[in-house]
Amino acid sequence: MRCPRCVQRIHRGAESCPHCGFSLAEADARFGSDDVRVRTLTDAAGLFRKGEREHVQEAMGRISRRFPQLYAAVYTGALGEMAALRQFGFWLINRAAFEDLPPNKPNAAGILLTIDPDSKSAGMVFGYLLDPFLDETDTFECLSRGHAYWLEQRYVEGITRVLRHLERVLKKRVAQARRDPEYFERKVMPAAMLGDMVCSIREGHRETKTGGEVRK
Amino acid sequence: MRSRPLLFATAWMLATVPPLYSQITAADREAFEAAGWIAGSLLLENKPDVPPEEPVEAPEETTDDMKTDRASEIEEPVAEAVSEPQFPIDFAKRPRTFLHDAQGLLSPGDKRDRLKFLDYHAGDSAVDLYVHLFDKGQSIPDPEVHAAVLDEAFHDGKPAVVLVYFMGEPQRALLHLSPGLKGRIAPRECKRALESAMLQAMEKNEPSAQLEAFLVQMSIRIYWLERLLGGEKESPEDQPIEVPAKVKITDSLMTQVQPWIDGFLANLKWIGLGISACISTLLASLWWVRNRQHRFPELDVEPRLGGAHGAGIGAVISFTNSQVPPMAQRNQTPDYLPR
Repeated sequence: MRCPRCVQRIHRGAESCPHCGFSLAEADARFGSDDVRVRTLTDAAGLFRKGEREHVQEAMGRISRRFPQLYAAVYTGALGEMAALRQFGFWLINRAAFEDLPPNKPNAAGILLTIDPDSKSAGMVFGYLLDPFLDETDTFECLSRGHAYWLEQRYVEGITRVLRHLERVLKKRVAQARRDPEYFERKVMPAAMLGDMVCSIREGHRETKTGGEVRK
Repeated sequence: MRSRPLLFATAWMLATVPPLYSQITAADREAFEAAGWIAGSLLLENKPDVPPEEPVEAPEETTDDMKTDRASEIEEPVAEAVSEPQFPIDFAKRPRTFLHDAQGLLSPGDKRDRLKFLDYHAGDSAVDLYVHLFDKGQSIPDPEVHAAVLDEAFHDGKPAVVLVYFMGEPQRALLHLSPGLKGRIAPRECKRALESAMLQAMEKNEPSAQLEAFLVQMSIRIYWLERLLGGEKESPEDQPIEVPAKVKITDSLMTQVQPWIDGFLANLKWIGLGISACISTLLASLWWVRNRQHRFPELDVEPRLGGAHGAGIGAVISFTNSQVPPMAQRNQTPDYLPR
């Protein structure tokens, strides 16, 4: 994954970005440290006309129906620069309290689509539940589906296209996880365990006290 | 008002003048009658010399299908009975030609044309068409006897339809089937054929043209009667009918296909049930595939950057400029790095 501010890669379990020192605390300093009560569909920028919200909600609800663990959320608002959009997405998925979500659905099961009509940029972040299964390429492919519509300011159509493609990607990832669960388990394996594995292999190359022979 | 007495006087004088006929003497009358006729005698005579007509015998309605099949229910004119000496038509044997005009009602040219057409029909059809011509107003003395004689005459040989046609009265035409065709063709079909031919004939004014139209339409209807005959199963006692090759091919095809059609119709309910079950299964499968729920395995992920629910930027795309496609934005670079 990448740091929301410097866009450099960071390792698993990093408390802060090793490159720029960014963490949630800095995002809190910028956007607020308290939880914010929003709905899964929040049109703060006023992009949707009357009757268009239902189309977006239908697309969002379809993801919840097909993937009962997950939910999709859409936020539109003026945030300024693209860098702010990255940090805002990261901040909102950690600080949002979605009013219209059942309590058994944590934010970690969410996929948040953020659109800033001022900076004309859109971002997509996801929680830890999908962290092993999705990567930046998948979310970028999803956002690419709405690019042509957003250029013409047809936001609703762009969002529905994005969510429809996201549904296909999630379906594919579920099938892959069913076929090869170890692949995804290895992706989220803690670094300490990885170190143990390296140690055990290296130990195999060392001389043992009992046998005294060296393996190659 | 002044002329009223004059009008009365004129009317009285005209009433008292004896008719012209009464001024003719008996000798003159005999002379005129010997010469031919007396002009105006029919109008001026008080008692015409024409003898009273004999009581007319209307044709009897019998139960026999073909004898009573009239082309229509039009009121029939008074018909003159045909007697053997007057019209020596020999019904007791099959005629040598298809057109029997014993009274010479047709001109030689018309007769030749009609005969040529009937010969052509006989060469093209499995059922011959024989025509007996009678004059207008004539009638068959005893239709039952006439029908029996025709049955005897056409008992053997090629199946035939005998038409008794009255010139100028196509609605009185009678149709008689040879014994080989009786019972195989429904009377209503014959009646339809007669009506159809009569309607065609009634469109013409000339009796000869009426006969021509009648025969053409009757020939067409006989072709359809042949088709009806071709669809039914032949019984051993029926006479063989030479069916054209085209009809034979159709019959053989129908014979081959008929068991399949019968089997299909007999099992139509089960076939429909099976198709419905297949369609229902397909629709249910489609619905299940489209609405199937998926679950991701829940794996433990170490939190990053202090975020309890998620971390990272996922992806960001800019739609500021249409000249910058999404592919050019795949590799994200930091454009703003505030500290």
